[in-house]
Order: sequence, then structure tokens, then C-alpha cells
Amino acid sequence: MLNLEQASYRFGSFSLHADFELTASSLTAVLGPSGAGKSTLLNIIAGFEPLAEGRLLIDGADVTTSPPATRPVSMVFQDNNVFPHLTLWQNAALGVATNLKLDAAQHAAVDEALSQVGLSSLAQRKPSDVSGGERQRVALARVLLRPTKVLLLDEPFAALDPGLRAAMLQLVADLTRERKLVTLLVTHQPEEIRASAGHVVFVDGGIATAPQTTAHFFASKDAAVLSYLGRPPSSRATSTSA
Amino acid sequence: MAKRLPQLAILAALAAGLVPLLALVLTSGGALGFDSSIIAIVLFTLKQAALSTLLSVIPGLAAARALMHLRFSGRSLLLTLFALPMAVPAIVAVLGATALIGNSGLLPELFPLYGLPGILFVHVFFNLPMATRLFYQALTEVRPESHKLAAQLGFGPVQVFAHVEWPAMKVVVPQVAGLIFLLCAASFVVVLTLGGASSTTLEVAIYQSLRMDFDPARALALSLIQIGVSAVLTGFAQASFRQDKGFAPLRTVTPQLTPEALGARAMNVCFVALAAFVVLPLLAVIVLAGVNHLHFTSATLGALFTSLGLGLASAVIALALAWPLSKAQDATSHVISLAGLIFPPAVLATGWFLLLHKLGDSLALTLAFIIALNSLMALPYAAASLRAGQMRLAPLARLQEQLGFAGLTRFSMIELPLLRRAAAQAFLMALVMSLGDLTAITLLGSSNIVTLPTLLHAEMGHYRSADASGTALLLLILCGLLTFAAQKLGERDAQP
Repeated sequence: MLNLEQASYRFGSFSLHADFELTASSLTAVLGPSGAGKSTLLNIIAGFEPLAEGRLLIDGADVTTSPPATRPVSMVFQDNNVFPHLTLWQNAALGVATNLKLDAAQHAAVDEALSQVGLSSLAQRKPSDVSGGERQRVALARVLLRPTKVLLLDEPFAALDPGLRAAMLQLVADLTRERKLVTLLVTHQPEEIRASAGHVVFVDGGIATAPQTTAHFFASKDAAVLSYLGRPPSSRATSTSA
Repeated sequence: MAKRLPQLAILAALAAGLVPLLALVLTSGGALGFDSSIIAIVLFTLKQAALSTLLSVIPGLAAARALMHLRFSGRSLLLTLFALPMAVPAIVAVLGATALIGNSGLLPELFPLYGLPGILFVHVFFNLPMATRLFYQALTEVRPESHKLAAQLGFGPVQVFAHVEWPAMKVVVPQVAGLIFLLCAASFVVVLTLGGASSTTLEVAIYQSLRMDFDPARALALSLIQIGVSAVLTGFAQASFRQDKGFAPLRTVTPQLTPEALGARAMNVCFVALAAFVVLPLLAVIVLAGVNHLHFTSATLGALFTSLGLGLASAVIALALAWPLSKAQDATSHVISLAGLIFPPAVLATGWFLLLHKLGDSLALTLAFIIALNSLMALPYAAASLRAGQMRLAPLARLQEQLGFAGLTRFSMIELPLLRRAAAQAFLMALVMSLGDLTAITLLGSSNIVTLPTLLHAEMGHYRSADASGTALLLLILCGLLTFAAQKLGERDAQP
């Protein structure tokens, strides 16, 4: 469904290499230390960062050089997912038409999308009048309205409290299944996605590794993974000097 | 087309700046007229600018810190009044200074009005309150934790200053000083009206060498020196355009500060009083002298409409140039938006004056050049105001890209709704500057064009002080109200 073929990204001394495939209806967590390139991986897929080498295919179509708006990709950012001067309804409707000229059927679709993410009663509010979680739900409603095959989430729930975070994660998991999406979720809380994410892409040392099952990842003996998870590689002391 | 807008604006601004310089070079035949008198002019230009800067920055630092520590009911009002000199046209301030310390003024013996002391007084009137506000703004941006930490560690006033307050203000000192030095080095109206034969700056000397002596070679030499000086200083000052929140209201809620001893508090009172005495009497004298002489003769009304017409046209052009320039994030656009500072008005105006002569001196052409010069002088401020609005748009760039916003839809759906207040603010500020302008019109104008500032200048020249004080108050009210409106817009713009 989503193929990264020998894809390489370079910026200054930073580089990131990826070569793997993700299937539809899959929720994959992107894990790795800060600054390793987790967000960069998402930006490459969304089209915000260009590839130096290799190809990106979605549903068999080569989108390596397509501009972001023409890719069947929706990215939910950590923040700034809504325009402050538009209502939640208008913000969602931007997923249908950027000039907000909608016919009756499209109108109904926006209402339906907002109701699916539980925002019907807040539709006419401005972003400044709702909570952070509700603002992120608008972004998810917009995903439902755009022709989306790939959903990218860059720590979108980091600022929410644990209960809300779990509910949003459930919503994302449901969307992924119902819409047969390829979903990639960057998070700093690996434990939280243990239950919901089927696979893990681990980003470290300039390489985004091929997806492995979540169970396999958490049982890994790889030194980089153990260091990332904060588990000492062995019980033997490693100090060499005094 | 839309993507080329910044380039077009750059070309327009460059042409406006370089064509007149070229005209100057061609007219003088490339000859440079250096003589020893130029050295004296350069030295005086730098000396008065340096003194103006020192007299504004050092008391400004003291007053800002004192305003932070003192609590009195008029503090917020005082800070607002300190924003007012920005709106006062230079010629109105000169009239105020005359009424205050002139021969028949309220305090005739205080210090001489003409020559260096008078020039410094008016320059400090403009720049001390601005410096105070900028330093005060820097102090309000100190994180509350720093003050809490200082209190917890039992810092005395000296340590608080050394470890909390000075580090916060230090960052903006070079920019504020650079900006004030630049503005004073290019000061035209104040030096023209208050400087004598011995107190001439480059800016005024350029004007004199062309309009009085008609010596293009000397004008070219002076212009090149002036551009060199301004270019270096603009480099220093431009950073403060990024920092300067313009007319934005300043927070007057102070954090819990370490209590000060009686002596320190008495000093604070002195610093604030000193700053207030530079600013308030001059403003008061304009209001009090003018209030009985506010009149609307046909001459006043004619000048008012001419001023408004020229001002509106200049503001529209300034906004049209500032919009694409503020959108482009590259350094070239930034430098170009400062062209009105790098190429001082006298340089531009003399070039255009020479062109005007060649083109046949028509009234329409003169008006066009006055409008162009005014819009170029307002451009740095208009661009800074719009850039502040663009900063809030920047985080939404990727979202716009993903949704496929482009062209007219992007403009009408996103940019216009989110930038309209910043744009209105930029427009009003450009309008205020053009309304009070005496520089462009003196340099380019003919006696056929009468604006409020030239009317005021003529009334002062003919010792019709009653009429002059009325005209000055009218100008002050007009510019004050527009500044107030711009400030209100900035205030609402700051809210989400």
C-alpha cells in the first residue's frame, strides 16, 4: 500500500534512509530517540520534505515528487491544525473545498464527519473557545472528508491528559480499520501504544527500520532499542574507570 | 504572478531608490565635490546623533527600570503618553520647543533654542520615550521565575539589576541605540529649522547644496557619505524593527519585585520625573497654546484636504509594497523594505528633484514624487507591522500546503482575514507619517502645494504664532487619533 523504495533524505549532515512497505488497515507506531528523524519520516511521506534518492509509492502510484495537497495523505500536526478565524465546522469543511463553497451533499458530509468525532454540538465555535483535544478532533474530522489513504500523526495528543489520550487513540484505531488506512503515529509514550499499534518502525542512527510487530519490538535485545526504552543491556557493570 | 509579487516590489523599491541616485551622478557628470567643509558637516552630523542617542538611551534605561519598580496610579497613562511623540510631526515638536524655550516662550533662559541644544532637546523628546518603552518592554518579558528565584536567594537591588534586569535590557540596547542614532543622523526638519549656519547635518547640507547653491557634485559627495553612514547604521537598527512592537500596549502588571530602600525609591521617582519633564511640557504647551486658536479657514481646510489626499495615496502605496515584502522571508526583501532608511530622504529627493527638472516640472509629477517618497519613508514601519502579522501565519503554512490553498483562495480565505488588522495598522501608521511630513514636501515641493505641515512652517516663518499654534494642534489631534486607532488595532490583533 505504502512503499518506500531505497528512499534517502539528506539535510546538511543529517540523513535518513528507509526501505519498507506498510499495508492498509494498519496502525504503526514510529518510535525512536529525540532528533532521530521521526517527524522527518512523516514529512517525507506527506511531501513537506523532498527525497534525495529513491521512490515513494502509495497504492502503486509514484508520488515521490507530487505536491502535498495532491497526495492521498492527511497529516495531523502536534499543533496548528486549525485556522483561528474559522469555526470548527468551517475548519473541517476545508477538507472538502478550500473556498468553502459546498453543495448540500457535501454539507451533510461535514455534519456527519463532525458527529463521528463527537463535535456536532461545538460545530459553530471558534478554535479559541474549545479545548486542545477538541481542536485535534477537528483535524480527524477533516481526515474523514479528504480522500485519505495514509494518515500521519505527529505526537498529536501529547498535550492531552491520559484518559483523553486513550480515547483519541481508540478513535484513530477505529478510523484506521473502517477506512482501511495506513496510519503512522509518532509518540514518546511507547507503553501507551503497546495495545493498539500492530507494528513499530524504529528510527535511529539515520535509518528507519522495517516495521516489526509490537511484541517483537518490546522483546528486542538490540542495544539501541534497549537504550531507548531505558533498560540496561545487561546486569554487568559497564563503568571502566574510577 | 502571485509568486512574482515580492520580486516586483523589490524592483519597484530599488528603482525608487537607485534612479534618483543615478540622476544625481549624471547631472554632476560623475564629479565629486569634496572640500574641507564636508568634514565639519560629517562631524557635526555624527556628534549630534551620538549625543541625542546617549541622552535618550541612558535616561531611558533608568526610567524604564524605575517605572517597573514604582507603583502609582498614573503609570499606565504615562506609558501611553510616552507613545504619543511617535505621532507628533517634527515641525509640531519644533513649534512646541519654540513655545517652551524660545525667546518669547515660557522658559526663555533655560538653554538656547537654536543650534545644538535645541536640536538635542527635540531629538530627545522623540527618542527618550521610545527608548523607555522599548526597555520597559524588554523588562516585562523577564520570566516571572527569575524574579521569584531572586527573591528566594535574597538578592539586593544591585544583584537584581546585575543578574535579572540588565541581562534583559542589554539585548535590546544596541538595536535601540542604533535606531535612534540612525533617525537622528538623518533628521531633516529639526535641523533645518533649529540649526544655524554652523549646525548643519549631511541631510540639510544636501538640500542646501542643490536648492540654494545648485552644486550637484557637492550634493553627490554628501549623498554617498550619507548612504554609507545610513547603511552601516541600518544594519544595527534593523534588528529592533523585528523587536519593536510599535504602538502595542505595554503590560503594566509587575511581578513581585524585591522591595527597595527609600533612597533607591527616591532615585526612581527622579528618573521617571526627568523623563516625564522632557515629554509632557512640550505636549502640554502645544495643546494649551493651540486650544484657543483652533480655526478652520479656507486655507486650513485646503491644506487639510491636500494632506489627507497625499497621505492616503502614500499609505496605499506603502501597503501595496509592504504586503509582498513582508511575506517574503528572505534577507533581500527585508533590506529593501528598509530602503527608506538606507537611502535618506534628502538623497532620494534631490535625485528626483533633478529628474523633475529634466522632465519639465509639472504639478502632477511633483505630487507623484512626493507620494512616492512618503511611501518609501513609511515602508520600513509598514513592513514591520505586517511582518508581525505574518509571524502568526507561519505556523499554519504546512496546513495550508496540505489542503492545497493557492492564489486568490489563499488570499481571501486565510491571509485577508488573519492579516487585515495588521494591514490596517500599517496603513494608519503610514498615513500618520505622511500627514506630518515636511521632509519630502520641502525637498520636492513647490509653493503651489500647501499641506498642514507646510502651512504651519509658513505661519511660523511669518511669526503668526496664534495661527501656527492652531494648525499645530489640528495636526497633533489628527495624528494622535490615528495613532490611537492603530494602537487599538494592534491590541485586538494581539488577542487570539
